[in-house]
Amino acid sequence: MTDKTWFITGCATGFGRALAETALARGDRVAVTDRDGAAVADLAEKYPDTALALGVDVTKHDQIVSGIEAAFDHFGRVDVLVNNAGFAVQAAVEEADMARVRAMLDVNFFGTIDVIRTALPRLRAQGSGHIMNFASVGGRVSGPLMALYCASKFAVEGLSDGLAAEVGAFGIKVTTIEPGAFATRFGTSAIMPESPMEEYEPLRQSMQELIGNLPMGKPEDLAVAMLDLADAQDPPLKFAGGIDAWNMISDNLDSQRKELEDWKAVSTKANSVAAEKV
Amino acid sequence: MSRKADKKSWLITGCSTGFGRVLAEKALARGDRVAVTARRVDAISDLCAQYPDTAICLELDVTNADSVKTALERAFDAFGRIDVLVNNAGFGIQGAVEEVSEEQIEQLFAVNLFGVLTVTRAALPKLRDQGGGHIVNITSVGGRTAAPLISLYSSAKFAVEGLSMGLAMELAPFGIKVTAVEPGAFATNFAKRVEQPANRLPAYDEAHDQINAMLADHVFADPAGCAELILKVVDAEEPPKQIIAGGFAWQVVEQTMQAQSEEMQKWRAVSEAADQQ
Repeated sequence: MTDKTWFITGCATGFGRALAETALARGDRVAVTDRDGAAVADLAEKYPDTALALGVDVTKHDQIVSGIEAAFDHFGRVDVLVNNAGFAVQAAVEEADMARVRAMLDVNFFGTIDVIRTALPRLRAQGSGHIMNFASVGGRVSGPLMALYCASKFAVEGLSDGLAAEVGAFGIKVTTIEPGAFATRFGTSAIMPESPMEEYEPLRQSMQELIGNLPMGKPEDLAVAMLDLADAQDPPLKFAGGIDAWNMISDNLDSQRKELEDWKAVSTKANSVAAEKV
Repeated sequence: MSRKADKKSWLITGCSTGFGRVLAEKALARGDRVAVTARRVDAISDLCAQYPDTAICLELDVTNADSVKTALERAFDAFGRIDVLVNNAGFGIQGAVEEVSEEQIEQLFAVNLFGVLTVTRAALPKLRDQGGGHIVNITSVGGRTAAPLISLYSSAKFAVEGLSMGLAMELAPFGIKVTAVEPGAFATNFAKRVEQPANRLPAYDEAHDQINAMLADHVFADPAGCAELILKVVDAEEPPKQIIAGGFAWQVVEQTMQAQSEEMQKWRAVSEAADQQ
């Protein structure tokens, strides 16, 4: 089924933009949003009948409210709500600037929650919808110097898993998108620590080599896959974007399951005595 | 102060009740030294009276950086080192994403995530200086698998899981270990004092009824069992990165991971197409 109506955050560049362009190109209607409304105005010019460009900063509640209202007023419904806006702080936990960590959580997690909370009454009222939350392969597999970013993305995973169970009864689906390495601005715009600590330099160098050597996917390809997810009768709860992400998550699941098995006896013994009272 | 391998120094947050308290009692009972901390020191002072040589009781509010710094300094001064840092302070909210207020979400993350960060970051320079240590973050089975009406609690606990595993890799070169301990349903205050949402919506009545009925029937385990598990984890040569406390929780996580693997297999071709490189 085509002819879907989308609401997408963070459309100035990267996945948000690629997804908006791909959906518009096939004739879907899209509320193309970004904190910089001017950065998405070209899409509304190119697709005057099907694109609605809106300035929405996901850290500003009033902009979220007016953006969601404008999209529902204009299109009558939103079928797919995509929480894409996000960025990374790349720093050791010890050296990170907490104000930046907070700013990252504000966009990656609290912004996502706010958009969802604002849209949910309308999605419930229309009796259907598909919420797609961008996490990352880092929402499933954590890494050094990315622990804080991963914490924000793990949080999105936990939110999405629980939400799916909460809103399934209202006909609303939830999918977490977990891209691996893609040629978005993401890699180059990761925020480095203001005061890097010498102690973490060896780790930083090895991480930069690793990231520099990763093959980068094209955001357009992920966008096409997300249209497939939007069209699926029974979409997945979680979706690994790219075979590298798929392999990393799969390997991580294997090692988690091995550890779970290795410690089973200790785990199981922990609740062998019932409490006398709660 | 000399240190025998079997005598550890601890700092534990949130010791007025629940796991924090039981863990402090168990560690003290076996002769370890414990900086027992809580927001209100009068709730823990009995432990210092009982173990005057090995327990110190300190006021520590994880949402207050000054209070954290002062307590850590006093603990390191008193014991010379901290072998095990336990981030235990936390609380839960039962409510749909739509029902919980912004203030409740803020407070939930202030304690459950930012509190862990504040304590850990304050302790790290000293842990690195002493060339070792073990950070134990108490999360929850809800940090591995989510359920309706605890989505926000799960988000915070998932976040601590992600933090813990990345941190473990950052700190391995300094000899510092990190473990996330994930309890299932234990008879702590947590079980009976989960916060209710600010704005109850009739749309979620059925979900609330189901969960309340399930909780009413559930046999909660003695938290002492979880404390014993933590002692085993910190004594292990190679402790786990993540460990579930409780057989039922173990089954739930095993099933969740099985379902995740199956879903991945089912969508593998689409995943592959998403990244043609």
